[in-house]
Amino acid sequence: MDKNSGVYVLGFAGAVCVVMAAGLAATFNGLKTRIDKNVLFDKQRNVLIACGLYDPASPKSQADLEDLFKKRVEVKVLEFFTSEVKTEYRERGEKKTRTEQKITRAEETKLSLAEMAKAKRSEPNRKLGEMYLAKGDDGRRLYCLPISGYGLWSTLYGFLALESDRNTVVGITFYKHGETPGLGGEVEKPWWQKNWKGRTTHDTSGNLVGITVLKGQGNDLSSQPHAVDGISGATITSNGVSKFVRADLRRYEPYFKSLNK
Amino acid sequence: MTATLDAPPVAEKPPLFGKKEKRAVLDPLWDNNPIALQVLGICSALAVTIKVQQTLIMCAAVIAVVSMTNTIISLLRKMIPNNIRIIVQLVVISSVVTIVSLFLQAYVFDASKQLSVFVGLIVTNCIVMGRAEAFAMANGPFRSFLDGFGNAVGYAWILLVVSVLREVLGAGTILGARVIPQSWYLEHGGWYVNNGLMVLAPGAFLLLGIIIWVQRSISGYSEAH
Amino acid sequence: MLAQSVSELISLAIKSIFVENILLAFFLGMCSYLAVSKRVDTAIGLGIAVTFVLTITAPVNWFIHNYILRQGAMSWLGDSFKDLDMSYLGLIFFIGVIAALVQIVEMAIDKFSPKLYAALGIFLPLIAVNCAILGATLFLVERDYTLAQSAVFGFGSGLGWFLAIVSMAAIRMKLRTAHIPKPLRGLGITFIVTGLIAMSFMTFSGIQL
Repeated sequence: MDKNSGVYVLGFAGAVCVVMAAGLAATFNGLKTRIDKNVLFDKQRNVLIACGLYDPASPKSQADLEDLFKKRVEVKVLEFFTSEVKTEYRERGEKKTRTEQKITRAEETKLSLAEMAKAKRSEPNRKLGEMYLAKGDDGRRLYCLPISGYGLWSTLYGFLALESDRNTVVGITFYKHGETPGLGGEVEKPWWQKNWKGRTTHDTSGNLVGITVLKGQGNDLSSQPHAVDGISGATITSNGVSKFVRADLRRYEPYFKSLNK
Repeated sequence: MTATLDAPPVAEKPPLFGKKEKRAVLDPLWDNNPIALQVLGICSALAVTIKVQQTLIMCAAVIAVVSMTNTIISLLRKMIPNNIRIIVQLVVISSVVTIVSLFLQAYVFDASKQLSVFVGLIVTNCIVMGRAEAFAMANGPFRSFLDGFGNAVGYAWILLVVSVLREVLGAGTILGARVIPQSWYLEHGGWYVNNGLMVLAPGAFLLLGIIIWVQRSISGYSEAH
Repeated sequence: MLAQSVSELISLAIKSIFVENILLAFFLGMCSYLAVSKRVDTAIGLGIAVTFVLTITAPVNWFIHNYILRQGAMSWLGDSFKDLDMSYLGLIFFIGVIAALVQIVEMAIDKFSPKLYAALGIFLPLIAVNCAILGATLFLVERDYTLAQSAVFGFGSGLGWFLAIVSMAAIRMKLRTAHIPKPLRGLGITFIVTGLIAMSFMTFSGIQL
């Protein structure tokens, strides 16, 4: 048969696509549970790190960490506009899931007109967000919030844990980013993350000010309770972090305010 | 296999690993190196060479992808209609890359996280496409496999040299282990400061330029103007 | 509202052309950049072809990502498709669109300018594997751009790439008459010059838009 005839070309192209797509679908479905589990565990591990419940310098096994997470952390979903806390929520990778993807994609972005008007332009139009409630060592409640936004090259994803006063930072972690290793990439390193501990997000009159990452290393922080020391050579990443941490805190603020009353 | 008894003398059959096969593997390592001479696969060479560990995983992924796609394309080469060959090659390449990336996510999750988009960008690594188009379309599967393997290894060693230099000069470590003693550093009372340029992309350019210079001085190749 | 989004788009365009030049800041699209920057006229030809392909593929891939591939994207077909996640087919779809367009451009160049076609040689089909084009698509997926943003980003990235390759070609024309050690000629010196250009472009990253 003529290799360049239209019928052959179409048939061949179709056959290649079908075979390759079938192969991919099989691989994807075969590995999906494993990948989902990896993703889920990675987040759980980072929640524990942010809340100061696990120090990666003294590593623990995956089973131990999963157990610790189950015992100490509750996963909730918060509706930002109504401050309603939903408990019916399970992560990906567990049975009978109400998948996380569904929340971040479909529901989270479906805003009514009134809600859209309320949402700040610079903020992502989200309706729902996860909230991890952890039990600290002395039984006090810690709030761990997902944070994400642009740095220099990439979107960074991480967690910010707050004390029971919802003002003092317990810790911060980043579990996914594409910043330059050695510069912006230092955000994932413990030496920088430990700078965040004890910083506060509200000024003395209770207004949300967020946390500013300063330019360069070795700043004098004694008079700046709402700032952390930066990373030299990574000013744009630092600015990005300051900006999206503030934006994310602002979304949880109405709920935190309602708790203060 | 009784049929082999009636088969023509073995001497007429080309050996499994003869001169041509040897050339397919060895040439790209030095004489016809994909980065230094064929100018292929530069993009990712710059992006993933900041830390040696990252580079090792990237190299393994590239070796797997190039060998596999070369073999598959070579098996299909007689069936592929000429005017859609590029698309067919790309479909094969991107499928193989997706599969490799899924395996990375399932079995070495931390590493796949660090490489992020660069695993996907193996699709556009010119080595993969370049070898498929230039070699696999005209040669048998076994030889194409060897050619793919050889080229990927030739690409890998240059990447490793660049990444070792960048990590040592830029961070003072290899695979995270310190090679330049702490006490040399300025902040510990020494005299040494890491070269920040090495971590940035221009550093990679300058290093790569110098490595090519050295490689070509030894191999004696030079470009006409 | 409209004025604000227009000014946002303009700043995105400036960013993608200069500040975050896809070639000089992200180092995507190096292979054809290095190989085809020997002469200014071929560089201009390839630059236009890349800009053209980028401008069209960015919005097309946006549609594919948002209406076919990502989880819940097929919900316009009905509720039973709400959970369908085909993002693992992303690379194939994106590269398919790019390759199809490149083939069209290839035919067009062959028809209208056989001289340019011969000069571009193997690098014409290799536009399909130009990292800049797939890279731009992966970026717009990761950054969740809107349709308008994707279109502007695609065009801006293409124009940025065009500028970079044409200026490099101009420098290389000058280098021809320079006395350069033999093994350093060609690729070696090109890398070193690119390193210097890249360093100077790093100063753009301080601009806040």
